[in-house]
Amino acid sequence: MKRALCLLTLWLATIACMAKGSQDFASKFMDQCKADTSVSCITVSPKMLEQLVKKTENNPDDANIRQAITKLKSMRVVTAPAEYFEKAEGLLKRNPQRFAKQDDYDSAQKRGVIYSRKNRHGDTVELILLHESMRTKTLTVVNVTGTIDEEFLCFLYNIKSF
Amino acid sequence: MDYKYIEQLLERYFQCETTLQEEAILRAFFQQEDVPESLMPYRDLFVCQQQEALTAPLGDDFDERLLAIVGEKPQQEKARVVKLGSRLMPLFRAAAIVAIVLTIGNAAQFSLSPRNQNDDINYSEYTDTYDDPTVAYDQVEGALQLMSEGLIQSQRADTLSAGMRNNTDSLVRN
Amino acid sequence: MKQVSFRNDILPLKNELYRLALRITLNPAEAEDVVQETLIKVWNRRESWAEIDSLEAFCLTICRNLALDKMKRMDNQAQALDDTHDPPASDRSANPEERAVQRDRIELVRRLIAQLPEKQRSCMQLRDIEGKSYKDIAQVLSISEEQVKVNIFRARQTIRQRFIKTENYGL
Repeated sequence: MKRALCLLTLWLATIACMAKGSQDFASKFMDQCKADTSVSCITVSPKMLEQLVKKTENNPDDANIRQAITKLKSMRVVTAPAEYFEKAEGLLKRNPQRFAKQDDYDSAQKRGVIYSRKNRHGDTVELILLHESMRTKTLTVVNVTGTIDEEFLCFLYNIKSF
Repeated sequence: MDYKYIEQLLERYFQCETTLQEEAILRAFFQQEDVPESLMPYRDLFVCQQQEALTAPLGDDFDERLLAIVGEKPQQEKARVVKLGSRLMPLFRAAAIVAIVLTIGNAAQFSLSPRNQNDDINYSEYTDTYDDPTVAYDQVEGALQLMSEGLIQSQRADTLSAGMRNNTDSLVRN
Repeated sequence: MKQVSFRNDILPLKNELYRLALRITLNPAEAEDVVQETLIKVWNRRESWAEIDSLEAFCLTICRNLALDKMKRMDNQAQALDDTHDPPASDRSANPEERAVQRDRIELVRRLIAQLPEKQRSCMQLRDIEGKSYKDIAQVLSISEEQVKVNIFRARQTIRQRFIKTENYGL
């Protein structure tokens, strides 16, 4: 009986572990900064994103943003003091089997890096931006998950107007 | 690599449903070396358009002639460079977006380790910070704009140092 | 009010005007004449420059009209742009020079466009090569935006059918 109970517990624990799934980068980073009050995180859930899509249905000006949102499952935005840039990038760099660096930029007023993550099917499912502003001395982490395909990138690209 | 987006753009192009920017994307796409076999038939059409746009056979002597006719004295003017804010910009943006699409699409695959087998994120744990969709929308919009800027900034650094210099030179106006 | 300068604002349009004139007349020498006449005509209307919304559209309109006049007078029919450069009919497989083959194909595209009716050619020129909006093109041709779209649709479809078909089955 005891053995059966042990086995059952073990089995349930395994199921629970598997069901837990993985975390997005922002949440992992927040775990690292748990006690730190200077670091804050905003979460936008899949349900909220769906609401936003409906909300902008009739607004032609927001077409690119709306299209981009339809591809997303979640968004998290972390704000922290600028010094946290290395800490954040460190977490990405230490997991090369998970995150791949895409590009970076560096100017007098800002610097940033972009990382992505693919799932086991080879689809890009997560995109992370680390952006440091020298002017405001803050680090912003934008972390989205969803269908990060060419179409999404094109919508995203078109959001910024010159 | 999945060229579905380009194929969709092509279909829409022939249905006359594309925007100027999307057309610029197509032209930029077909400028690159590695056009996939299935899309090759369309390449020359877009390469031709690109080439035509750059033909500038009327030069200085034409200017001098015209200015003489209308009675203005031709000055010693420096070569005029097309400002980035004009026609060149859509082309630049299109080339950059093609670069982004190809880069992120071609990113190296990481090796599968047993830990990564269940990679699906557990969304049930997500609690919204804001209940008001209007506030949430503002946050999302701001974040996406920042991301958009970041993509563009990173591509600008790459593109400007590479191929775009050729295009800028050939568009120098006298 | 913006001060318009012939040298800095109008003369620089010369190559864009040339490209349109060439697309219509299919003749480089005629095209250059058209551009010259256009610019002189625009110069003669300098009193009204300040009131014109889009000088570019204004110049393009005059350019097109002059080119059409010239065509009527010359009784032109659609010709190959460059008669001296006829690519050999059946050298596709034998030609080792990739670039030469591509040059021929691009020449083929030009010929196909040259065979289109003038309105379709001009609309396609202003859209696909000069990157103008439907609204601007409508103004230059004095037609509706819908008609611009129809012309471009037909042009693109024709090119697609003829060019892509040629690509597949050879000349």
